[in-house]
Amino acid sequence: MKPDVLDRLKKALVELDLVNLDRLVNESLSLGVDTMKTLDVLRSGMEEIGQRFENQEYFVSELVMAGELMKKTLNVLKPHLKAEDRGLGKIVLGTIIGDLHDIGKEIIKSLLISSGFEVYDLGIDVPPEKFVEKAKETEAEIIGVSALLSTSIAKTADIVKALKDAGIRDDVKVIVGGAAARPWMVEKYGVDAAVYDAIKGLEIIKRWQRRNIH
Amino acid sequence: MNWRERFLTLLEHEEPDRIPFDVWCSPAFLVKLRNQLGEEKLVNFSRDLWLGIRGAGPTVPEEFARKCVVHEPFVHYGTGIRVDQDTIEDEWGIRRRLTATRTESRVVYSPLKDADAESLDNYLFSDPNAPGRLRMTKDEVEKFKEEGYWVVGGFGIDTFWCQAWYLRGFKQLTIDLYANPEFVEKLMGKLLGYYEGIGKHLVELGVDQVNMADDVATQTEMIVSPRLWRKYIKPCYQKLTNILRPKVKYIKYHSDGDIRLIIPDLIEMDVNILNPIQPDCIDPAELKSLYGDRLTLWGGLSVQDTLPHGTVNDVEKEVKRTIESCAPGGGFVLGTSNNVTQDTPIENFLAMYEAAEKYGRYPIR
Repeated sequence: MKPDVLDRLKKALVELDLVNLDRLVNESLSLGVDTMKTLDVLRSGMEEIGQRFENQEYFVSELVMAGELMKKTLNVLKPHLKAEDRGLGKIVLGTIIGDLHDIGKEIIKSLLISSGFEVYDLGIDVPPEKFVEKAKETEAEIIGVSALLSTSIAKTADIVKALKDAGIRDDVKVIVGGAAARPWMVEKYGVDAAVYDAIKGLEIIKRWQRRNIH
Repeated sequence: MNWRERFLTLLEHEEPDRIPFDVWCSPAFLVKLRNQLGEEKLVNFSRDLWLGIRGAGPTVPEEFARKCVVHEPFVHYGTGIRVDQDTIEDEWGIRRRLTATRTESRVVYSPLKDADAESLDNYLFSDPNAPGRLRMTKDEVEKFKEEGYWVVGGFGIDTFWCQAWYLRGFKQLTIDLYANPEFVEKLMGKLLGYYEGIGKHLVELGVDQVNMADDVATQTEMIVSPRLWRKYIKPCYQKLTNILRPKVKYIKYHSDGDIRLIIPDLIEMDVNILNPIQPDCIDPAELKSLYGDRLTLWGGLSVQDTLPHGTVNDVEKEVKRTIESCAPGGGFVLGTSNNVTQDTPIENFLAMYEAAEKYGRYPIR
């Protein structure tokens, strides 16, 4: 194994170097590098990209591009993954009813996929009960609600209520994210977290996952 | 002082008699306001009492207007051909779908989604000189000026970044920034051709001020990295403002979100009015102290926190605080930083106007 390839691979991802990233993924495969190791290196690259975003060295455009590169790379690596290399967890995602904005949702979605989550994207303008139905159907542990408009975000309280009514509130965490999200919503709407930006949202979701959620 | 004198004074960074007040309302909030107050009381919020502006800008040309064009008055970009009950196609071929309430829409089809640099030449970009593009005449502009109004021109649509992504798709254009620079440069060049044409008309009309709008930031960071913004977008703006200046002395730039990283660039390209100063992510007082001598700040009131979620007292305090920090020395128009939303209590809305009346007169106490 040549660790050097993985170093260069990570550098190519972090610097959004399209040409070299493609080449180095194929090189790592032909050298027989363990796919899970390659994936771990790429994920640590995504973490570095998140760090750069927090430090205002990277911006939304870099996050979107990194997400796209990671998605493409995952598709190349997927056939080489062993069955037991399961994902980190399942998450149902959607923009709340009355809100059609989806740029923020797309960003968190690609970050989640890149981090190894299985994402069920319900799209935009999603009624509260749909989030809960999908969570039940997929046994997802997390519901992620995206919202830009302050008028719509209050509807997340209905998701929490529907989870309670279905008797699965303790099994599913709810995080609301987007420009309209405010910390006081945790108490008022009964959600588990409310965050402004995707990187912070991802941190919280990963933390939940590390603690095995509950 | 009439409105012209007032604007000329404040835009030259001197103190007029009072501060103009620019309030944007969502259609749903307006319905709520009308229902609760009744038609008679709405007169108190007439823009002529608070802002004194007349607008001049492009519209759809005659030929497009003949194609059974519909207008959804409550929707941003609501003029176009109806594709189906909920979908409208605008003059550029961009399709937007409306919500059930018909107050919001989103892009669902981008005509350049599959284009490449070469095939861009086959796409028919809108013609700034098409018959009927500008319905207002120079004489009408003159008349408004004689009546004491401040005349503001605009482009009718968002400028470079937003219009480019509506045409191309957000994700694809973002990828293009890194993977297909040739395409981005060519697309921006084509758009510049349109905006330059409209800009020349605005200059000929003799407007007092030109507004450019382009949302390039979220509330925590820039959408387009400043490096790429400077590479692809700033040079286009510079060319556009070169056409507008020196005939049009006052140029306003609008972007939602936190655009602090590019404010020095905006000043460099002759922007001298900044809107909407979203206090949820930018401190108006900080901008005043950093750029108050070069920029007129226009906006400053929170429609996300204080108006919908604050108390009447909070609203009054915010209006007072914003005026106290931004109004001294002129260079300030008070305003909401976006549309007042449906969940805003009427008493907060009224408190905002009362506070604007109470504190919005010079000298600022």
